[in-house]
Amino acid sequence: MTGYSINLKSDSSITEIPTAEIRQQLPIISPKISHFSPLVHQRIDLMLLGLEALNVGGTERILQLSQQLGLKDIIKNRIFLWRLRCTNPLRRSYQRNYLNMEEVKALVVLIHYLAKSFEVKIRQHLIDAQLMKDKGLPVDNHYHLSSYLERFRNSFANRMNPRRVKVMNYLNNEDLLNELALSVLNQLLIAGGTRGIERLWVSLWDGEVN
Amino acid sequence: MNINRQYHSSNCSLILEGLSNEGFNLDILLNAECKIISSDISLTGGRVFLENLVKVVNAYTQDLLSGLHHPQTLNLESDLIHLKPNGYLHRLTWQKTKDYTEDATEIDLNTVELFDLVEVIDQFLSDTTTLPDLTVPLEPLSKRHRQDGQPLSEKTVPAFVGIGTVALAAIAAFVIEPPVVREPQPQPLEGTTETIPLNQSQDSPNPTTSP
Repeated sequence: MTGYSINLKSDSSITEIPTAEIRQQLPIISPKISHFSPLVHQRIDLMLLGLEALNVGGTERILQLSQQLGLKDIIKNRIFLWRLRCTNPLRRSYQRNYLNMEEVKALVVLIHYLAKSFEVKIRQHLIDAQLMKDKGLPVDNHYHLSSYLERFRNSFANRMNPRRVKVMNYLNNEDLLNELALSVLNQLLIAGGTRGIERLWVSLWDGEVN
Repeated sequence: MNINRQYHSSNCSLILEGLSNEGFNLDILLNAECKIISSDISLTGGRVFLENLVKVVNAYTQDLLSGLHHPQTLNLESDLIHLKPNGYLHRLTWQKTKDYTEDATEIDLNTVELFDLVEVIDQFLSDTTTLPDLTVPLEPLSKRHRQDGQPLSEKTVPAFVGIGTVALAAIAAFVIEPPVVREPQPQPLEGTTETIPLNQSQDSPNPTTSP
C-alpha cells in the first residue's frame, strides 16, 4: 500500500477519493471465516462513536465522507449506516446479524479517513489527557477534552443496552467510561496513520483465526 | 557514495545511511538513528537494531489496537528492545549489547510520541526504495491468544456458584434425617357384623350390627 496525503475539507469543495482498489487489496486472511466475532463488531461501532463525539454533527460528516470515498454502494444512507452499526451486541437496537467482509472493509476505510481528518484534534485531546493525568487531575476537568468525553458518554448511554452487564459497568462508573473514550482515541490515532488501514484491518483478525 | 534517507514526524525522526547496489535504492544499511525529540535521546545501530526496533514497535502497536498481546520476537544478537505499558505511558527499553554490561536506556513515551515513532517506521516500510528486503508483515494472532474481554474471574464465578449450590444441597440432604419407614400394623376392626349360620342355634340372639 503506497503512501498518500489527505486533504479533507469540511466545506463544500468535495474531492472524491477512490478506495475500491484499497479495499480490494485488503486480504481475507482466513477464507473459512464468513464473519467476525461480536467483539469485533463492538470495536468498530465504538470507534465510530468516538469519531462522532469528536465533532458536533459527526454523523453527517460520516455520511458525507462515505460518499467521497465511493462507499455509497455499501453505506447508502443514514438508515443503512445505522443498520450496519446495530450489529454491535451492546446496542439497544442489536439486530443479531453480522457485517459481511465488504461491509467491514468499507467501515475500516471510512474510520481511517475520518481519523486522519481529525488527527490534530485527536492528538490534542490525548496530549491534554496526559497533562491532566500528570497533574493528578480528573481528565474531565479540561474544557475541550470534557466536551469530547461528555458527547461520548451521552452517546454511549443513549445507544447501548443498559441490561448488558458490560454496559451497566460503564454507566455506573464515569471514570471507566472516560477511559474507554480515551482508549478509543488511541486506536483512532493509529488507525489514521500511514499504514492505518492495514493495521486496523489486520487487528480485527486478532484472535479470530486458527 | 552514501545514501541518506530521513523520515520525520512531530516527535520523532528516523535517519538511515547506507549504500546502493545499483540505482538509487538504499540496499545496504550502514547506520540507523532514531531520535525521540522530547527526550533528546537517539537510539542508533545497524541492521539488527533497525529490525528489532521495527518488530517491537509493530507488535506493540497492534497490541493497542486489538487489546491482545503480540509477542515481541527479536534478534537477540544485540540491541535488545522492549516496549511495555507504564501506567498511561509506554516504556521503551533499549539494551545495546546482549551481555548486560551497560545500563539499558529507558524512555517513557506518551501515546502521541509512540504514534509518531510508528509513523516514521511505517513511512520507512512503505518506501520501496529503501531496504526493500526488510519487510515486517502484519500478522494476526490466533484464537488461542484471544480474550473475549471478560476477566477469567467473571467467567468462572457462575460455574463455582453452581457447584457450590449443589454441594450445599448435598450437605443439607445429609444432615436432614431420612424419614423412618414403619411397616403398617394390622388394626382391630370395630363393630363388625358377625354372621351366624342358621342351623347352629335358633335361640341365639339375632346378630346386631353397629351403626
